[in-house]
This record gives sequence, structure tokens and C-alpha cells, in this order.
Amino acid sequence: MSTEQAYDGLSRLKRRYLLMRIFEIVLLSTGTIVLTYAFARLFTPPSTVCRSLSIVAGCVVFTARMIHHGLHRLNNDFFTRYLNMHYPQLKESADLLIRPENELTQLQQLQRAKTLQQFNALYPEIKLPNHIGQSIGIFAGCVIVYFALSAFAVSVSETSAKTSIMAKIEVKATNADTTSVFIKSLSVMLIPPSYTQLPPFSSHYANLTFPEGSKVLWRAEFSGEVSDVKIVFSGRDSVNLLHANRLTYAIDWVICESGFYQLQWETKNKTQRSDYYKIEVIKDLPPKVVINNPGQFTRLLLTDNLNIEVKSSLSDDYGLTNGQIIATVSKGNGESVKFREEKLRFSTPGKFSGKQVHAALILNLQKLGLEPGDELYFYVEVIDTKTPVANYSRTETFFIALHDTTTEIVTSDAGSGVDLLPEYFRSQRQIIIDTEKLLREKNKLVRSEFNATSNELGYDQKVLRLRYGQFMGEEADSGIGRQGSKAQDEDPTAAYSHKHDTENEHNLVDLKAGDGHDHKTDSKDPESKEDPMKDFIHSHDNTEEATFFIQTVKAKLKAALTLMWDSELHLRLYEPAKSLPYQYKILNLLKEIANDSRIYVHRTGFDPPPLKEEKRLTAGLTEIRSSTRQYNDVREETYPNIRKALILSENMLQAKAVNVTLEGQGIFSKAGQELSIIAVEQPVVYLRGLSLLKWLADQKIKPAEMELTLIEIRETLWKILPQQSSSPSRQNATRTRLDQLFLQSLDKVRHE
Amino acid sequence: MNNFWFSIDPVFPAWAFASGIIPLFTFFIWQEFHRRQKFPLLRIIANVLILISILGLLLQPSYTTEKMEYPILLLTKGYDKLKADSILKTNQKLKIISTKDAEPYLTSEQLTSYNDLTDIGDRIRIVMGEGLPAYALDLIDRENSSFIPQRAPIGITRLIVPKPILANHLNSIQGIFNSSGKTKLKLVGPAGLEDSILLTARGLTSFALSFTPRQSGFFLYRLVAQDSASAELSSTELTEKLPVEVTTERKLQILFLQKFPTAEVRQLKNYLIEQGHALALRYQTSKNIFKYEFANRSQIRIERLTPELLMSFDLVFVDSNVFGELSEPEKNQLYKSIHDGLGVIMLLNDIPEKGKTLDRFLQIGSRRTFSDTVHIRFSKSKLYTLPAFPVEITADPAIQPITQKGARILSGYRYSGFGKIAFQLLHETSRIRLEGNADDYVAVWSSLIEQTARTKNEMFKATLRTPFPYYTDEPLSVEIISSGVQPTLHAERGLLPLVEDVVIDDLWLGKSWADEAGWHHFQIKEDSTQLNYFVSANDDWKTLRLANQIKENELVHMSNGEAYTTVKDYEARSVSSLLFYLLFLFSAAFLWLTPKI
Repeated sequence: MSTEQAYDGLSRLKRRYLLMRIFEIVLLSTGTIVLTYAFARLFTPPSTVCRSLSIVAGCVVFTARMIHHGLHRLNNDFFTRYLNMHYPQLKESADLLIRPENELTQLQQLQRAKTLQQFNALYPEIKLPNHIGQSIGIFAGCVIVYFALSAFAVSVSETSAKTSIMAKIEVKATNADTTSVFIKSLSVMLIPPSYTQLPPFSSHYANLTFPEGSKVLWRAEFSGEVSDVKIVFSGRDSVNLLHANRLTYAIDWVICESGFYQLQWETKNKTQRSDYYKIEVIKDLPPKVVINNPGQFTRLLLTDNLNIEVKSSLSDDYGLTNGQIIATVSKGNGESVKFREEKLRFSTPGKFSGKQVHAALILNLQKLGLEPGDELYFYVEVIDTKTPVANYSRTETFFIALHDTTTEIVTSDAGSGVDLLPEYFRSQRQIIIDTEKLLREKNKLVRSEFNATSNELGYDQKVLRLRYGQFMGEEADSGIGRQGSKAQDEDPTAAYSHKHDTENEHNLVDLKAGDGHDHKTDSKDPESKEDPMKDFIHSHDNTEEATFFIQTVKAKLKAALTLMWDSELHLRLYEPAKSLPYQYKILNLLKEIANDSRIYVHRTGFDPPPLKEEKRLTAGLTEIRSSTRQYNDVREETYPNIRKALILSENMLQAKAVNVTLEGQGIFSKAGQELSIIAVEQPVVYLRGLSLLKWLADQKIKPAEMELTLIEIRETLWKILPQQSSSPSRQNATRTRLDQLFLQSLDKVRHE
Repeated sequence: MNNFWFSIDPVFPAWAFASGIIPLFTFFIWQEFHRRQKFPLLRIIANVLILISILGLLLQPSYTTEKMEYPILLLTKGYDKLKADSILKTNQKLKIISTKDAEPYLTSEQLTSYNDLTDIGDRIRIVMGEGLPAYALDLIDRENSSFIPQRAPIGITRLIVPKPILANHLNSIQGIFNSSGKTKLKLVGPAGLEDSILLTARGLTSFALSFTPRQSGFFLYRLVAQDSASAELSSTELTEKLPVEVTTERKLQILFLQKFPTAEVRQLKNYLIEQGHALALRYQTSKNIFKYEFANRSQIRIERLTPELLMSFDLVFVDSNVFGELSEPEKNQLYKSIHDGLGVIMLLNDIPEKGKTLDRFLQIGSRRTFSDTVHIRFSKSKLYTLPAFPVEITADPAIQPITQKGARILSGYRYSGFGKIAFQLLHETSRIRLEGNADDYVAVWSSLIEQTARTKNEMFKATLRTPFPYYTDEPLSVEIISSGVQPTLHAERGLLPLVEDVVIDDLWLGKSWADEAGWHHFQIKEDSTQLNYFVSANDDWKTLRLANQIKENELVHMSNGEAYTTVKDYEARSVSSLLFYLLFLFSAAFLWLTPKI
């Protein structure tokens, strides 16, 4: 190795040493910064000062350590000295490595060569002095201490709460002169209810917006001696502020409703009031709940999986407390329908907490006791963390029906408790049985007999269809495919049926000519554009809207009627086998309709008062007498003073008035009282108007601003007045002699 | 003008001359005879001349001369110069006179005021430009003059404001706007924008703007014409103050006679009671057993229809069953009351049989149809499907339809004397109200009730003949129709004289002048009838005023304006007073100098 190589080796050692030392010092400095910051946060909130202090401490440590280790003046002598001290193999000759060769003696050169050899052999094993491990330990310790101390650190909210005292708002009375005492500083701190988990905060404005149920702390410092300091809430209730010290008054108050407030104080026997300030309460909204699975209407067969997973998403603005499923099992038909209610807890999560919860439960329908034909109605209800009264919310009712294929349906509306079908009706089930029987006996019957039976069944199907059609508001002689009286004359079933249940049974009404409907079009009618087919179809009424049934029932009934047409068609064509599938579908639909009626019973159950059997059907009218009832229900004029103020402001605007008369002040003042009631509900909208009315009543509007103020007031007051429905009004007329003569002449002409 | 060539206009009466001046001069002449001075004859002549000069000064003599009167072309503001050139080219003898505000034309003379028309009015043959204001039109020869108008002004040229404007009712202002391009017309109320319309066509376009006032009183709405290309223009040019007098509804006294209670009447009853109308209702619950209800009024006996009972109601709802069971005297009484002004609305319980109720009572021709439902939309409402009695009302000019579906009349009324008989073929209308569509329900019933009910008879009906707008110091013509009593009209300044129309009885006319802008009123003392009107500032409603003026001038000038002949006329010229004065001076000087010569 040459001298250059020795230099190079020492340089690398130097770089390595520097890196290690700097790393070590950086660790220590960072640890110092973290530690200093952690300690500083115990006394002060995070701020520039806090951060600067930590960095300065870090820098001090960094510099001190640099100086301590002499890194700023590091040279090769340090390393040769170190090598000589720690590696005896070099025989205290390491310094020869860095001395110029021409300066060495012969002996020294020889020793240098030996040392160089030794240095080369030692180089990979050279261990430079460092405390990296120690530094890492110290750094780790500092970080741990930081996290430990941060639990006790001053929070941002506390800080802002404390500094809120510094957020001073100057308030002057609206009816004050320049010498009057005023509020030098008003500080407002707001502490939301604990369940919201929101930190306290201060308001920099006298207009306040805060969560419902917050505690509001007012602290008012006056410019002079005052007495009887109070806050008037929404122009009605007032609270006296407590005397804190000589010129300072304070009060805290829990507020749950929006409105407005005004500070009032007495000075030298004169009452002074501040402007109105709004109180806008952010309402705790009821929780939201959605059932993601299953769908609102679920129909299952007994063979299906009867474990239904109910998945629900629940959320609230502050937090949820509890949620559960309310399930009602419905059994039975008609008047014997029975309900059983159960409350089911979600299996996941075990406990409700947080703002957003995804809950689930597997409903075992068998365990719930559901049998074919039964139904389960359920909904999810949830309550939030609000105190003292929690908000409640629930979903719509969801339905799970277990299909029953064995029940025979004989009535149209089992839920109504009244059998609307007359005795001579064949039920759909009966028609199916007869059709099946006909098909079975097909081979035994002659063709004509088979056809006649099929036709009769078709007629029965028609009668059933007409009967159900009446529930849908269809007329007995109308419907799809009907072709007027001619078709009736050619009815092939006429010979096989006994027509009792037809319209005009005894020919009391003349038969209608043509199709009996006026299809005259009116080109001026704007609606004719909407429906070009209107004039060519048979439409008596909008049947969709003319029945008592809910939409799903109507749709099913309509579908059943359409299927009945198809069923009848094939029976009339002597094809009972083709008709049978339609009949099965009809039966299923009718069953579902009956079940829907049961739901209707559950929704609007009504217990009629018991009848007195002894009076039933006696037709006694002795207790019925002529009666007279008198009542007054005149709609009183709303906001009379606001109306007066509106007219006054309009008159003042038209007269370009710049001053409010004494009478006008009274009117504006009374209007202000009425407006204050409205402003409680909507302070954001009406507080400005309320202030303007107050200024008008106090004569505080400058002449130059009067017109604009009146325009603003007029607009506000006009918007308050409710839009009422119009009423017929008695008209005026002047009856002159000429009118009478005209009428007399007219009568004469008419009688001639 | 008289035909004498010489005439006098004495300062004092003739007897004063006879008794004073003549004896005095006789005395002077007699004195001259006795003076014994020089030139006695000349002195006597001088005395006579003095006498003549004094008489000339006091009697103001004049003499008649012939003069030529040329036809006049009157140029008013905005006249078309090219048209004036053409007219003058063909009629060179036309004398040109212009009004003060008109641009001078060549050698045109200028009118100092419209009063000058008193002298030259009968010679005006052509009026060009904006025309003359209504009050100056009386001063010109209407029958022999023609009017060449300027082009219609840009802006509102016609305005129809309904009367009365009722609170909570939808009112509509209609008019015509002369547009120069795309214009947005807005109606701004006390609470801001009420309605607006975009006029895209150039030229005259009709418009309608609706609003629903919430409070009665005197308000100033604004009509703002906004050029589509620019923002809202200055208020002086395109913003007009629209005076709106909002009145309250007058309540009605209504009687319901029903065979049995129905949901339809129950809802109608509730609606009317809520609106504050006074109602009396009678239902029959069983034979000889009735149920009576009285809402917003005291109880009265309504078992029988007596003249007093019917007189106390404005409107009677009667169903066909009850009407059928009324005794003949009751029916006659009902007819008589209708003739005297009562309104009756017939409610049908069943499909009327041919030739029965509808024909006999309502005197309305009808025929059965098969259409028992109707699909109808009330103004901006949704489409309703309502059941209606399958009856088609025969077209009759006497029937005033209220609700119609195409040509089919669903409700309406006809006059019978001073009263009205109405019918409603729609039924199950209560479900509109139950659905919460109160406005649509009102559309079904309100108009029918309002039109049918007995009107409030007033002794006088006062209206302004002068079209809106009105201005200060301009005459306002008031017209009063009285019911036989002579009215006494008071303006704010005092009593106004009224003149009855020469041809039409009970039509009284008066004239007044407002001295300041704002709301004013006329009052008739006999029954406190009050007519309110708004006087606009002179800068307001310029285009409407101009359009009205042009329209009025067009109506007045009936001549084709071709007879522009020169007329020979006579003119009385007075003898100059200076002449008499100089004569007096010379004569007096002679008499003074004579003794000194």
C-alpha cells in the first residue's frame, strides 16, 4: 500500500466516523426536541413558540454534542492517535502513515512500511468510537415520554375556550346616546352537551350557532355602573345576569330552541337594550336507518332457506345507543287473523356505539313460528345518544310471506270480514276442480257434451271475472274484447246460462244505441294531444283511482282479471287444458290479494263498539229528534299588527316620510312583538326585520336611510302574511230605473 | 260677429254719457259764446273736437273690415317632417302653427298656450304628431279636422287593471306593450317579483301578469320593462308605479236545503264556514225530522221558505229532491225571490229525467249523454277525473258557463230577473279538497258561488271617465250612475258640481283637478260610496299617456281633412286711442293759446 492508499483509508475512516457521530447527535437532538415539545405542551397549546422552543433545545444539544466530539475540527491526527491507542499492532507508529515520505528517515520509512501492512490487515476490523445504541435508546425513551405526556397536554379546545374570554365584542344599546354606559366587552363561551363529544368553543360574534342543548356562558363587562342586567330570550323570557365583579356580569344557560336574545340593563333609571342577536340551534337529527336486506316484500316457499339475514345500516350525527328489530308474526284468515309481536336484538354488533353501525341478524322463520300462509312484518327501530330524551327512528314495515299453496280462496277480500261473493258464484278453485275433472273424463264424454261443459265453465269464469271487475270499478258490460250489444246477442253461452245477474234484467231501460258512448272529439281540447288514443278507446273513468285498494293489490287484481280473460277464452274454445295454467295463476294471485287485505287489517285495525242486541233491527226512531247546531268558525285575521305596520310602511313610502309618528311607533312596536314570535322559529330570516322594526319604533332610523328601511320592512312583513285560499265575495251592482225597464221589456218579449 | 260696419264698446254706460258729458260740453260751448275772445268759431270747433276725442276714448269705437282666414296645420310634438312637407306641398295655403313642445317648422307660429286654440280652433284642419290633450280637444273643430298620428311609443300602450282587486284572489293585469326587441316585463310587488313575461316579438304584443295580494290597502306595485340585452334600466324610463287598491272579500249569507247530508255538501260547507261566510243548513234525517246547522250567524227558522227568509240570504243551495218536495207557494216564492235578485244553485241528486227539473226550474235545455265522467284541468292544476251527471246542456246564449270542458258546460248560470239560477253537474268534487288541493277546489266552486249570489245593491256607481294615468292640474271626468237619487259628490277640496246627461237618465258627470300626486278619493255623501284613484307624477306612464292621447285624438278627428278652403271673414278693428288723444291735445292746446295770441 502506498501513502496515498493509507490516506484514502484514513479518509474513509473519517467519513464513517462523521456519519456515525452525526447520526448519534441527530438522534439525541431529535429526542431533545420531542421531549421539550412534550414538556412544553403540558403548559401551553401547540403554537409557534412551543415549536420554536423545542427546535432551539434540539439545536443546543446538536451544537453541544458537535463541539463535545470535536467534529468541527476533526483531522487525521485524531485517527492516528486513536489507532495508536487502541491498536498496539501498529506499535504507536500510525502517525507515520500520514507524514510525507521525503521527511522520513530510513528507519522511519521501514517502520512505516511495516505499519502500513499492519494497517491494511487491521482496517476492516477498526471500530470507531460511537454511542449510537445509547442514542437510539435515549431517542426511544424521549418518544415514549412524549406520548405519555401528550395525554396531559393542554387541548386545542380548552385553549380556545380559555382564549374566548379574550374574544371581546363591544355592544351598545340601540336607544343609547353617546354618554350612555355600554358593554365594553361581551364574551360568549359555548359548551355542547357531553353526549355530542364536542369540545367547548367560543363565539367571536354575538350571533350564536351551536348544537342543541348546549350551555352558553355570557360574560359582559360594562363601561360604567349598571344594574338589573338581564338577557331577554325571544322577546319573552328573561334571565338576570349575576354580578361577577364591579363592572362585570355573567350567566350560563342551557338552550335547546332557536330564537334570539337581547341584553338589557338599567342605568340611571333608564332601561337600555342591545340589538337583537340570533340563537341558531343545530338540532340533533333523529338517527337514519335503512334495511339493506331483504327487500320490502319477500315471498318464500316452504322449501326455500328459511333463515333470512336482515342487514341494516344505522347512522346518527352524534352516536347511536341501541337498535332492534320489531317483528310481528301474522297468522290466520279473515276475522280470525292473529298477530304476535317480538323484539329481536341484532346479533352483530353486540353493543351499539359510534355514529355509523352496520347491524345484522339472521331471522329463523321456523323459530319465529311461521307456517305456510303466515307472514312476518318487521321493521328496525333505533335510538341515539341524545339526552335526556333520545331521538327515535324506524324503517317502513317489511314483509316476509311464507307461501301457502293449499288454501282455498272463496272470497275476494278476506280481511274485510264480509263475504262479498254470492252463493251462486263458483270460486276459482271450484272452476279448477271442474276443469280438471272435465279433462279426466274427456274420453268418456261425447264431443258435444265436453264442449258444452267447457263452455259452461267459461261462463262461470266470466261471471267471476265480472264480479272481480266490479271491485276494480269496471262496469259489468265493459272490458277488454267487448264489442257492444251485437256481441251480446251472439253470446254462445246464452242458451246455457240463466241470465239473472245482468244489467237491465227486466228491460226497464232502453237499450243503448251503438256502442253507447260519445266519442266526439274536440280539436280545441288541449288534452287531446296528450292521449291520441283517447277517442278510440272505451274509457268511462280512471279505474286506477276509483277503488279502495292500494296500488299493489290493484295491480294483482288487474293481472288476475287479464288472466281470467285468457282462461275464459280457452274454455270457450273448448280447450280446457290450455285454460288450466291460467287458472292456477289466477288462484295464486287471488290468494295473495287476500293476504294483502290482511296487511290492511293490521295497518288500520278498527274495533267497532258493541251492538246492543235488544235494539238491533227494531227500527225505533223515538230517540231521534230534530236537532239544531250552532257554531262559529270564522277564520281570524292573522298578524293584525303586522298588517297595520305593512300598511303604515306603504303609506310612509308613498308620502316619502322621514319620521315615524308617535302612533306609528306604537304600531311598529306591536308588529315587532308579533314578529318576535315568528323570529323564534326562523331567527335567520326574520331577525333583521325585527331589528328594523325596533329601530323604527325607537326613531333610530336616519332620514336618509328611511326609504330603504321601509322597503325592507315592507318586504319582510309582506312575506310573513300567509297565502290564504280565496273565497267567493259578494259583488256590487247599481240597479237603475233603466235596468228595471230593460228587465220588464225582456220579460215581456219572453212571454210573447 | 254682427254685420254693422261700426260699433262701440263704451267704458261707462250710455246714461252716464247722457247725464254727464253732454250737459258739461253744452256748458263749455255756452261759455265760449260769452267769453268774447278771438276766433270764436275756431274755439267752438276745438271744443267740439275735444268732445269727440273724449267720446272716442270712452266709447272705444271700432269698425268692421274684411279678412281672409287660412286653414291651419297644427304641429304637435313628434310630428313627421316628411309628412308635413307632403301636406304643405299639396295645400300651400295652410297656415302652420306648432305647439310649444313641438319642433318649429319653417315659418311656423307657436302657440303660447292651449288657450290660444279658442281663437283659431275652428280653423284647424290637420293635427300632426302626438295630438292634443283631451282637455284641449274641446277647443278645436272636431268635425272638420283630421289627425295624423306619430308612431306608437315604445313601452306600455294599454293597461287593463281589474276592479275590484280582492285580497287572496289571483288577479291579472293585462295590457299591450310596444316592444322594440326582446323585452322582459316584470310585475314587482311589495315582497318582490310577482310575475314576469318575456316579450320576444317586435311591435305591439299583449301581456298578462298575475299576482295574489295578501293584504288589503293601497299599494304601489311596479311594472319594470327590462331590455333583454341589458340589465334593468333606470327607474325613470322603464319602471312605472302601478297603483293597486286591494279590497277585502264581502261575506255571503248562504242557505243550504238538503234532503240528506252528503260528503260533497259537507266539504263545501266546511270551506265556506272557514272563509267566514254565514251559513244556515237544513237536512232531513227522517220523516218530519230535520237537522239544522247555523254557522257564523244567529239561528232563524228555516222550515218554510218565506219572502223574509229568502230576502235575508244571498244564495240558496237546493238539491233536486228538496226542490221537488217544496210546496207550490214555496216554489212561487223562490221564483219571485230569484227575480228580485236571489241566487240559487241547484244540486242534482240523481240523473235528471228528461224534461223535468233542469228544464222547468232552471229553464235550461238539456239532453242525456253517456259520458258520466270528465277529465278536467283547472288552470295550472293536475288533470282530474271527476264524475259528472251525464247531461249535456243545450247551447243557449242566455247561459253563462263557469266551468267548461271543451263545448260541454259543467257548471253555469242564467239570469232570471235580477237573480240567477245556477247548476253544477260535477259531483264528488270534495275529494279535490280532501287531497289537499284547496286552490283547485276553489276553482270549482268559488266563481260559481260568486257569480250566482245576490249582488250588493248600491245607490251609486262612480267611475272615472278619464283613462289611467291621471296627473296633477289636469281635468278628471267622473261619471256617476245613480238609482234615481241625485248624488252629491265631494272631492278632498270640497263639493263638486254635477251635470246630468241630457239623453241618459241617472247618469251624472263631473270634473275635478288633483293638485298633488298620490292617492285621492271622491265621495258620494248619500251612501258613502268612495271612489279612490291615484294621481301619478308627471314623469310617470309617459308611453301610456301618449298612447291614450293618440287614441283619443284618433277618435275625435273624424274628418278626412280634404276641405282645406280659405274662408272670407270680417274683423272688427278698433279706432286707435292715440288718434283721439292727439286730437284732444291739439284742441286743448289751441284753446289754451288763443287768449295769448
